[in-house]
Amino acid sequence: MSSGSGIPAAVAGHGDLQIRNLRKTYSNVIAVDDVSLTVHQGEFLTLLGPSGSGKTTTLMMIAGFVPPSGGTIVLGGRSLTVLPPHKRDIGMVFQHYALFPHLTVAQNIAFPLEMRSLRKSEVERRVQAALDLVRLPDFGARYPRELSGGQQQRIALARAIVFEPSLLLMDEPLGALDKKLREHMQLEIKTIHHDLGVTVIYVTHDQEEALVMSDRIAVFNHGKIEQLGSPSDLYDRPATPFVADFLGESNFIPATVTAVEMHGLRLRYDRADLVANVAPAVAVGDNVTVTVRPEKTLILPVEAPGSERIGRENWICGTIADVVYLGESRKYLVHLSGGVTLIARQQATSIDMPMLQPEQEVVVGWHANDCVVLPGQSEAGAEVTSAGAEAREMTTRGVA
Amino acid sequence: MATTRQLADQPEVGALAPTSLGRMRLGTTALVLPASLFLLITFVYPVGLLLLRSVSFPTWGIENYATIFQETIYLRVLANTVVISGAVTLITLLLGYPYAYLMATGSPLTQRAMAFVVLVPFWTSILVRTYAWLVLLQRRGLVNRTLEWSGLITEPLDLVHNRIGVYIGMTQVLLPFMVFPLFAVMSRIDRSHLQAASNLGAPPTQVFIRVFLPLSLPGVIAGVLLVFILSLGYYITPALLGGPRDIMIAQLIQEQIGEFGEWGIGAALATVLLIGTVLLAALLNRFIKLDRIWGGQT
Ligand SMILES: Nc1ncnc2c1ncn2[C@@H]1O[C@H](COP(=O)(O)OP(=O)(O)O)[C@@H](O)[C@H]1O
Ligand SMILES: [Mg+2]
Repeated sequence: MSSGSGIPAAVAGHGDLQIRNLRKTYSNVIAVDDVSLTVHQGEFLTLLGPSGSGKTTTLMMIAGFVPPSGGTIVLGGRSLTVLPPHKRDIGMVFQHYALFPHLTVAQNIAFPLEMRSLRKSEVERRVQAALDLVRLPDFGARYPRELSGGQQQRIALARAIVFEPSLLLMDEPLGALDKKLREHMQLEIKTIHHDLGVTVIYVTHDQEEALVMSDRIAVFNHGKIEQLGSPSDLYDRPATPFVADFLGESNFIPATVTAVEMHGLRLRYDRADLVANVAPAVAVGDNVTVTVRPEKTLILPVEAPGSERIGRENWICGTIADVVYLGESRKYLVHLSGGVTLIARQQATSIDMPMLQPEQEVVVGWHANDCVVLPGQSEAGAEVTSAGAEAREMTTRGVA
Repeated sequence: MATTRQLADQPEVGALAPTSLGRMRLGTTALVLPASLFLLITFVYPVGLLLLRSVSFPTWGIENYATIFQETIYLRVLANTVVISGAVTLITLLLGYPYAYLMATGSPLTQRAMAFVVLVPFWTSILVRTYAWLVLLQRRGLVNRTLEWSGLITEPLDLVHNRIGVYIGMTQVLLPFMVFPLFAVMSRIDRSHLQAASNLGAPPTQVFIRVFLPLSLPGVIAGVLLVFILSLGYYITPALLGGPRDIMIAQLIQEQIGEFGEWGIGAALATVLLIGTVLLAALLNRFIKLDRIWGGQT
């Protein structure tokens, strides 16, 4: 993006980051509980989870500021566990940037280069290249407090990459910025990641941010990795109710397996027969939870002609309890006869689309491909729903 | 100070200023009135009188000042005062900095224990403490006996009624005034700055020199200022623990006024002390740009 940038497109010769059975316990808390994870060279991996789930502790162990209680961390074949932080050669963007207040922007960025005893001319060249890269070429002489939050964020990023580390850690780097700026910086960080080819481990509690930015996401909960996969894996095929609920909204329907077939399951909830095109390890008679995303459902008045139901195998009857108008879509809360409340979201495809009314009898349908069956019964789902809602609420409030 | 800068930067705030600032000024005046009155009566008035006497006693003119700056005896005392104050400031800084560092980086329990140790001397009067030093440091005192008993020395050392005694006594009294400003600033230093330095490749000594030390400078300046200014006016400790060559300006003032009734010379010396102190504070404040460093703290 900048001409004559002194930062090469890819740092060769370094390999993956391998974390094995990493643990950290404080006197009465298990902060990180047996985490194993391989981050591939050049990958953008996000640690996503609610506040207190162990993301920062994991990052701090990689950076060397928190000694692990157990486990190993290996970067490019070299064990990090015994190296002090200043010898690890890992870039880090701190949550509140941690720019040195007594040094100018240029001196801040020059700091890691001076620690590596680079020649003065080389230092100057690289500092300017880094400033160009974060698109603040004329800010070298300023002090950090003379910069806006977004500018400080960029300088912190420039300082963390100017010495060409093979691994870059970021702990909720955009947490202090407003929404608009945050979305802008997400794209910019992605661009820089792409241009430099540096491996990034990114921490956030914001699921949207994780979905937008990551190659892969590790969902943290209570110090453990709940699921590791690509954004679409996690969103479309959540492995646990927690993941289903933490990434976006989800419905949890308790059901019983009535038949196990070659390509899927037959299930029963209350008086409804359901089918799912998935084959988890369950047997006939097991209690399971069917999860389906609100936007994957179709809601119709109960008297709608049968032709409108074609194409969706699953239909459940219920009564509309509440309608929320969201501009581009409408959200319906539907009480099912079995006592469960479903959320159905409909795109407003046309202004004339009739709005269903509370108390109206409806059917909610979804495709057999669009649901995921998780082992275990609904209480877990209900519990997770509230935990997830809490986490989301904290996300919107911006609690770290 | 950051607020003033912000105000200056933002014209729209400036436009609001006249009414709100005016109202603020009125409120502020009411708040500071009692304190101002008190200062006026107990400080400005007597200091004014003193100034007057220095140029009017025994006759009008500046001959008192001429005397002070011409006769060696007065010049030597002025020099003594600056040298002793400077040395005590340096000693308290050298002792206080590592102490405050350990305190600021220690556990809460360590912090409380160390603060307690520094504060204990405050619970006894300065006179009692000074006499205690006299007992400890004399030729047959505890310190000399212990040293002789341990075989480190054969002849008792002269630890009192000389410069050494003055330094020991004043350092002990003034150490807390160095430690507490240092501690206050050091404990506010954000640990993530130190971690960042380390993460960027700085070994522990470099983290200290390049980051911790500069960030602790406001504390150093505050401590140095405080101790130096307090030292300048010291009286009891140098009088009791020092020798005839260690007379400081406050002793001289007391001697001139109390013993010889030389109100003119005494007042002129007091004025010199006052002006020196004020100039010093102003100069330091100006040269070291306190607001810049302190502004960077938050
Ligand atoms: N220094 C510490 N002492 C005791 N408990 C800690 C310490 N640091 C973190 N914890 C605990 O470890 C857990 C994980 O914390 P953290 O890694 O900061 O979570 P996250 O970054 O995901 O919000 C929390 O329960 C937290 O209270
Ligand atoms: Mg955190």
